Amino acid sequence: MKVKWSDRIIKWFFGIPGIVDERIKVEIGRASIKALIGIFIFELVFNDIIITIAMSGRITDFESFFYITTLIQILAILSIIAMFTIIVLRHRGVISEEVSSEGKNQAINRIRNKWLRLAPIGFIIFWLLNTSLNIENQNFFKVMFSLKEIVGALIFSIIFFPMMYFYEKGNIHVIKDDNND
Amino acid sequence: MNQVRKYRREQKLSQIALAEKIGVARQTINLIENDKYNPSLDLCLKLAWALKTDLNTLFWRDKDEGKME
Repeated sequence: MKVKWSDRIIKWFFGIPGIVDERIKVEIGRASIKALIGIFIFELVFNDIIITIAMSGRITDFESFFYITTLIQILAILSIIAMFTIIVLRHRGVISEEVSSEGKNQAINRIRNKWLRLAPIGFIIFWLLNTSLNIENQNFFKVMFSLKEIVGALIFSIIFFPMMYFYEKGNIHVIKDDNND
Repeated sequence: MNQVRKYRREQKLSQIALAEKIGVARQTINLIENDKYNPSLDLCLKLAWALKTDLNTLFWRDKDEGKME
């Protein structure tokens, strides 16, 4: 069966392990509308507050104010999306991977190998990104091979990749062949 | 309650086998069997064809029968 591009994007974006069928699209649609309403309300309230604070005359350092509000906005939007889509979809079983009891170890090994393969690539990407953010008119390679950058990228990799492995492992759901629950 | 489970068992199909046959997730079959998901007409037809029966037999219910959850 030919898989549509839109289905492939949905599958990739939400991390759906199986087929993207009509029920999954309905679940995603419902969750996405809730997330959209959540973001809309947040933006409305947050921007009102920001404008009121900015116009009150209490702010002297607008550059720091901009960075702080941007950071709050990014964190809040990510949290709303996580709350309304990832958690809801996980609860509804949309992003859980179903395996038989014999296939569980195989699935765990596949996930472990996937994240072991991705770890060095992720390490290099984070290392390069972090270096480019911290360059401050210095020699790129000097900054890149500084202990601070290497340790930073290592800490990120040590935290992020095992976390993703355990997250995906937690999404494995063992079923009987004729599961009626 | 619809008759999907009954006819699936008559055809000696597991939920996984039926799901693969009509191109949906196993959970979708499970939810349909338990009256927790209202499938589209297209999916109802696929189910009827896969279970070698018709829509009436699978899904018809009288007015006074309980509604879906």
